[in-house]
Amino acid sequence: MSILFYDHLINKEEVIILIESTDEPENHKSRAKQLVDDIIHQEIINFILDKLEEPKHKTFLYLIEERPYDPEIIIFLQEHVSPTIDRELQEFASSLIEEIKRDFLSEE
Amino acid sequence: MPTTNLARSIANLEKRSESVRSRLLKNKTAKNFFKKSSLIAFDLREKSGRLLAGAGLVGTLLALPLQPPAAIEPIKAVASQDALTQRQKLLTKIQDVLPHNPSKLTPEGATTVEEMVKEHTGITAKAYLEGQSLNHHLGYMGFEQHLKRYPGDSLAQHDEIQEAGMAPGLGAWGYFARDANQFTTKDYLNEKYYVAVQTLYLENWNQDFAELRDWYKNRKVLVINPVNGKAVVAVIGDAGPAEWTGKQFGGSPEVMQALDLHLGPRKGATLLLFVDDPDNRIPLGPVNY
Repeated sequence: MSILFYDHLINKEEVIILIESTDEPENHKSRAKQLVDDIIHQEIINFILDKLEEPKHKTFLYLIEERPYDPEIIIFLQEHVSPTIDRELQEFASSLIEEIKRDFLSEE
Repeated sequence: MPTTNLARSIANLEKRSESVRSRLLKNKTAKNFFKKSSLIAFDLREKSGRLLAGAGLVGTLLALPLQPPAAIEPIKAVASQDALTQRQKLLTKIQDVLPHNPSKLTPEGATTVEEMVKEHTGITAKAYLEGQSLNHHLGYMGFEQHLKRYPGDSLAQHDEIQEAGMAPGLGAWGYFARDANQFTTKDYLNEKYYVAVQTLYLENWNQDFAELRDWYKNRKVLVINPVNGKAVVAVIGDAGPAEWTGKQFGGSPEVMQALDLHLGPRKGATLLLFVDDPDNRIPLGPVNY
């Protein structure tokens, strides 16, 4: 797997271990891992768009599309959202992963 | 082993994924954007992989999504010395010697930079050429509009980056061609890859106007973005920007795109040197090295 600009702020290991430790077919595990990746990705974009002023939305989305790996995107967000955006993203992702784990283990 | 039922967990995840997607698509810009682009993280990772592989950085990609925060190094730092491209080699050297603020290189400093540029791009580029030098070799370059190339030229006839618009006036040298019938490929490229430099602030500009105008008009230059190493050969096609803007150079939309300065603030520090190319062998456009 390759990288996205926020990957270094997110630790999905516990969720991945949860998925891997189930005695289920590999294609089901892959589907679950892909869903986790998508949820985190879209939640992160939502989180940023909520904080970024609207005229900058288009630029941000283009940056993701053109250079999804680029650490400069974090610099752009530090300039236009908050100098501590990386820490904020880290905290947000951490609580998100806890929620995903709960969803994953939920009996409902 | 957890007693989880994966099928039920997947159903929960799908429900959540659907919910976050609907929330995201309530944002008007995102909704328009994701009509053309994928919302799937996997697709973006694949694309990212292709881009980085193209830059010779495949080795940095393995298992990164699962690593804790400290595991990712800046891209240029993780590439091995052997795998460095010429662009990366130039970057590692040039970043140590270039000031990151508008400045004029000393003749000695210029020689060091010129040798590095020649070694890695193969282009002979000079800060001082035939007794001429700009007031800045390092300066902020801003995004300029397209220029009218001949009487009656319109934005629709420019084939790229039309959203940049067309400057209301002519460039410093007037039209690129007398009329549409005499508009050549050379004129087309001169407008496509043009820069604006502050000839108007040269000390002897007014005094030696005729001579200097002929020297600077369509003079070939090499522009390098010292942050990412991207480079483009262009011609001096306009004068400016004004001193109060805080910028020292302007770049056509295509020049700015080649330097990767066309997004965000659309401005960035650049190194600008004259190309010493008396036989006109160096083509205009992005430099691949």
